[in-house]
Amino acid sequence: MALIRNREVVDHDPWINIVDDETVPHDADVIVSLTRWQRDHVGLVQRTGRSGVRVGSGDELDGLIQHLSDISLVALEFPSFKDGRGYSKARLLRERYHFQGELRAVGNVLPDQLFYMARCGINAFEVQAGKSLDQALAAFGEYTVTYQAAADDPRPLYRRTDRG
Amino acid sequence: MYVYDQYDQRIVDERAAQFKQQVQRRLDGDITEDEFKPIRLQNGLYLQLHAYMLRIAVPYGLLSSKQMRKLAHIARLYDRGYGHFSTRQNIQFNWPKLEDVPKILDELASVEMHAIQTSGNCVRNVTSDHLAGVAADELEDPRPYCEIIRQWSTFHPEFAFLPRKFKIAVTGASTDRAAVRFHDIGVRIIDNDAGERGCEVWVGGGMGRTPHIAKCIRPFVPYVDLLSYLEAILRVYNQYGRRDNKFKARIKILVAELGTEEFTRRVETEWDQIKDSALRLTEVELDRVRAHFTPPVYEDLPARPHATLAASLSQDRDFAHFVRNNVKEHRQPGYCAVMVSLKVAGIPPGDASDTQMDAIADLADEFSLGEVVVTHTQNLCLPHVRQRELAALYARLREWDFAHPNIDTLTDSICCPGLDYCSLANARSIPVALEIAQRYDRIEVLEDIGEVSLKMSGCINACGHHHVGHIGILGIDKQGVEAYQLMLGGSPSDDASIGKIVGPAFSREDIVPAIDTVLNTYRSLRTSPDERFIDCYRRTGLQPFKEALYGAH
Amino acid sequence: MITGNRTDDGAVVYLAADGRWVTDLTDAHAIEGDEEVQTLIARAHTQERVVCDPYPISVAVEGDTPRGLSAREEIRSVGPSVSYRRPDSPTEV
Repeated sequence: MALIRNREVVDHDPWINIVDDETVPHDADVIVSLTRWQRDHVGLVQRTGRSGVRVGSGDELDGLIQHLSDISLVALEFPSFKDGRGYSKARLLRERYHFQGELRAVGNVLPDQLFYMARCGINAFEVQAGKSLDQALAAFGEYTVTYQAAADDPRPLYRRTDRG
Repeated sequence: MYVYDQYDQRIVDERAAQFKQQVQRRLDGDITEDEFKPIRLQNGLYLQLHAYMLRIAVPYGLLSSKQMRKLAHIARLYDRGYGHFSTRQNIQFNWPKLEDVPKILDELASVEMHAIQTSGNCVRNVTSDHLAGVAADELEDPRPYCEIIRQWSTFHPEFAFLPRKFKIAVTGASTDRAAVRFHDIGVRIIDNDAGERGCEVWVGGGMGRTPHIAKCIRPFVPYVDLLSYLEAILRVYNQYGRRDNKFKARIKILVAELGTEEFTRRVETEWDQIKDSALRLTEVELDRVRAHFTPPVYEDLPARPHATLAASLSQDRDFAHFVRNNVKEHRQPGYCAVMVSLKVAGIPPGDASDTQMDAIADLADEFSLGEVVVTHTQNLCLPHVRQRELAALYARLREWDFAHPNIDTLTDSICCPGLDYCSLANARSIPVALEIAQRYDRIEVLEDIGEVSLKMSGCINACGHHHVGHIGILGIDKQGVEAYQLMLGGSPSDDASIGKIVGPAFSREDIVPAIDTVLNTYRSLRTSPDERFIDCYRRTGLQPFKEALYGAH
Repeated sequence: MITGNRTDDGAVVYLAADGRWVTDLTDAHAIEGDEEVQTLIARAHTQERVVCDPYPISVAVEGDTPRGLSAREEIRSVGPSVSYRRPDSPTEV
């Protein structure tokens, strides 16, 4: 697995995934499940380490919104490329709830999805190492024109430029 | 028609370039078929029974003669010399080689065409009335709004992986010729009680395994709010549409399971948040797109009523039949729209050869201001024909087998490719259509039967719209053997209804005789030759037909 | 027998005894035994540059003739049952 953040390969990822019944280190940057966050967020926030939350594709964002400013990273699960719910969650987090932290796509992320994910506000991606990585980095620049508004620009094409 | 600006052009060019790379990676073995499949599907490339099939988008069915010639060229150079016009106003090629598809996409891009999003779980081609822009009963041309929706949905990053495919249709006439009530979203242009012009929004129509008639969830949306409203619907669907079962994943299931009220509430709640955003269309943008669809400069000609036209031509009986059945009323006096029938005995419904496509392009230039429209009933339409040139056009259409006067009759049937071509099919549909066409080849017989729509699908996916045929046939698999279910009484239009299955399925040998029985029963029951099949059926109900087919019990 | 679609052009192909993929059903390798089928399917899945979506079909072989195909496999083996008649040419496609 390799990590791309803000269009660069990241050599060292400080974030650790914690399973629900595991103890959370005081000073580490940890990613916990949404359930864990809802249960333990008070304690999690009192640590020196940053807090991140893993959101499943079927989860509702309600459980996250309340204390969004305490969260530094949201990991959106993409269990299969067919499951497109994460794209809506990403846009809502960025555009509706003004989430400023790292929005990371985890799971089955193919290079060919990155352009759409980036447009939806996702700025970090877990991808397969190897050839896919080069493909992935190239994917961001594949389209120089977009028609519609999204998280990357709230204006549709005709509001960004003079058309026709 | 819409003409690309530099941005539209760049989008199709970059997509073609991207797909070229992806095909190369597939052929080199750098990506697996599993990884390639979603990519290939988003570019309209299916792997079918015998070959790849490329589905090319024809937005709202409209083609220039130049584009038609390019399609002919593609059929000739990269395929087996023919193409198939589909029930979503698109064109399909059945035999492209994988390595040629990037070249085909380049050729298409050179004439402002593409195969973007003609497959996959995304927003598909936006379809419309084939008489859009010229219909006598049109309130307003729906095509600018189709084009605006097309652009908004093209590579929409949030809606590329919906639970299932998504189909939108727009109509601007008082008679719905676009089947909007059987689409995931149907839009009708209307004037509200306050006299304002805007859109009525219908959601949750569809055919397939479980046919549904759409519900009107918003009686009125001003034009400027159309896109934000659609985005709200798509966002609710993307988040809450079922993903556990492919056959329960369309929006019609979500609307049915939540109930119209709750579904509408969710849409309206989302819409409240976004309607004042930059999604709101500007008058500048609306006008920019509308300007591409201003009516052409017509000659100032006297109107010639249809009846007198047909009567004065009664010397040539074939021509009289042609005028009566294939020529449609036009909003401009002295003009008409001419249907080009692709339902000819011996040829699969909706197919045309490369030379036929070239011929139609020439005829479009000479007789129809360079435009031709693909209809969702798998025919073509020349939309701007001068009435005084009908005889000349007719003679030319005859040379190419385009003049069969069977529009809206039994043999003007919709028929999907079926098991002869399609890997989803359970039974063949084309041979049944061809047998019926051969059996009912006399125009006098067809006219006596009168207006009746026969629609055939080779499987439950209903690409042949069998649920909404006056007579519908569904091909099924009965332990490895083809069988055919018959249904009656469907209609796709304002009088929307879903056909009822008559009884047990028929064998291949018995299905066409069953059609004979249905038509004979109709003829014996009708109050007069003027009572249409569908009206007769609605009056008498299923019972007499059931008895005639299966015997009284 | 094992069948699939040729990657290049989507043509229907069958696995022959020597491991080649052939277009003629009568040249296909008739396999007996589930285990061998599974092995050959697994191998076919590694040949994605040549063949897509391989799967097994049950066939009864009488003498040299494969029989007992479903309607779908019958059509796959011979091609579309409808020929395309061009109005401007006497030959069919």
